[in-house]
Amino acid sequence: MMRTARPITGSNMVQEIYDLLKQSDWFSNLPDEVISLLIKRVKQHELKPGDKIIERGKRDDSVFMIQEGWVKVVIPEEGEDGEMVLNHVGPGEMVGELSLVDQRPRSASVIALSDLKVLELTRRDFLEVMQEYPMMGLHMLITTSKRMRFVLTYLEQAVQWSHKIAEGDYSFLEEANNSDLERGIVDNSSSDTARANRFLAAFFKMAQDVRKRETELQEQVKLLIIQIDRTKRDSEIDSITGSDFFTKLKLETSQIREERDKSKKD
Amino acid sequence: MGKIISIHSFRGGTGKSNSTANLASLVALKGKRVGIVDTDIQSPGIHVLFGLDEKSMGHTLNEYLRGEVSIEQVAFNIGEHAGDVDMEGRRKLAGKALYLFPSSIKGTEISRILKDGYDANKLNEGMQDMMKALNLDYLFIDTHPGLNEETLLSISISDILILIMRPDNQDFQGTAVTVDIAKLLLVDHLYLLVNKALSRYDLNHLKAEIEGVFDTSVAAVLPLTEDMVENASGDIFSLAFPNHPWSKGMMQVADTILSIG
Repeated sequence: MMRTARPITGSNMVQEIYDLLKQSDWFSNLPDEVISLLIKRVKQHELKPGDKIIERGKRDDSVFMIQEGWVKVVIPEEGEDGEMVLNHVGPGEMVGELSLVDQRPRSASVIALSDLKVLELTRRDFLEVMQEYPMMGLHMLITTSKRMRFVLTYLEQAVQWSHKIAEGDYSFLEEANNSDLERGIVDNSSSDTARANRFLAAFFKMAQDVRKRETELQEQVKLLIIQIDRTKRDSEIDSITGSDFFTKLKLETSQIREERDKSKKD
Repeated sequence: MGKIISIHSFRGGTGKSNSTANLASLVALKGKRVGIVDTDIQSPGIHVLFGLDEKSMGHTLNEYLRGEVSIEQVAFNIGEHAGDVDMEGRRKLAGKALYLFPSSIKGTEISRILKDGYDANKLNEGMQDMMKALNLDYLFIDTHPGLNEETLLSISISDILILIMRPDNQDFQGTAVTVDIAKLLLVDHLYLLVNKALSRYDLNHLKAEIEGVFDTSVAAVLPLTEDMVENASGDIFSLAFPNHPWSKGMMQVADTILSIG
């Protein structure tokens, strides 16, 4: 789907890419000579909305940095057009770094949302740069660890909520500090916090749906089990009707009813 | 001959007193002469809905039944006092024949009734005389929850019994027992009234379901409503808000009562 692929040439373009790399998480701390090495090796692609940059399940191992425009990271679902959007990614951010590292098939698809410019760095080029400058690997590790820690805090939160849901405790849905999540107010920016909040908001929505369905099921169950314990009912009736009081009452009642019927006829 | 209507529920909290006050008012509004026996003047009940407190009521029905006072000393004429209240619903009762009879079946009173050997015949005669004296068409008895002897007495002298329940498993079992007892006591007209049904229920479905299980007519299924909670015993709801779904349901029940010949 890549429509064009060209090396980075011309001083304007080089400057532009240099600025972009210096602002990115991965490369910002690298010395200029390493950045120059990278610039020589990356290829620029231009794409149209709907074009696929990465396809889930494919075995390729380049990493891409968004230069201009936005992409969505999705997992296709069954049925036409079905997909679960994991993330929106914009300028200065990377996609495809997992396969670059572990060479496993792509875990998600990445699709252009707008006119798009991306920079591709192949695994081979990446490894070559790293051979010349091993510290790049460390920078990558630091950035990845930072993100991993961040994700873990949020995962922890989600796991806690999951336990509560399993216990039927939905009190966290009412807690005041979750009110933004409840209203689905999420920051669309690409900061880690915004991403994590989007993830939590999706989780929150799911929990609300689960609670709703559970309540509805309970009500249905209630409707279905208007059943009366026969044995208990009989024994309760026996205990009432067995008394002398009741026997006398029943007799008097028949008399009263007879008299009323008679007076009605008269 | 006037008709005795007992309004009963096996458990508390079904809205029994409120329903009794509304039904009696709706029937009185149709021009019928109506009495209400308020069996519990010690705790907030029917009299509160009509803006009365224990002090403003004089003698009790028990005293009348024992022959100690006349019925005029017991009856409180609500229609006579309704003109000057600021409650929109209650004011509609001005000039109507609606009497409240305070009575008490608490503690010593209960033992007294039993010791005096009060039986169904005597209670029936007393009530019939009272209805004759005031020329009543209907006498509503707001019974106590449960199935004690006083409740059985009032069921046994009733022409019509309305059992109120919530659509709630805790109410099903006790109501089922009460239905059976009422049938044994040969009540001519037995109805269930389902109150406080959650809005997510399909009310028609619920009605059919309950009629099937209890083998008894359901006079109406009334929705649980926040509006009612806000009203908080301040007024007779169905008179104040005649277009409300709860009020319309109650009017159906009143029509059912009026249609019984």
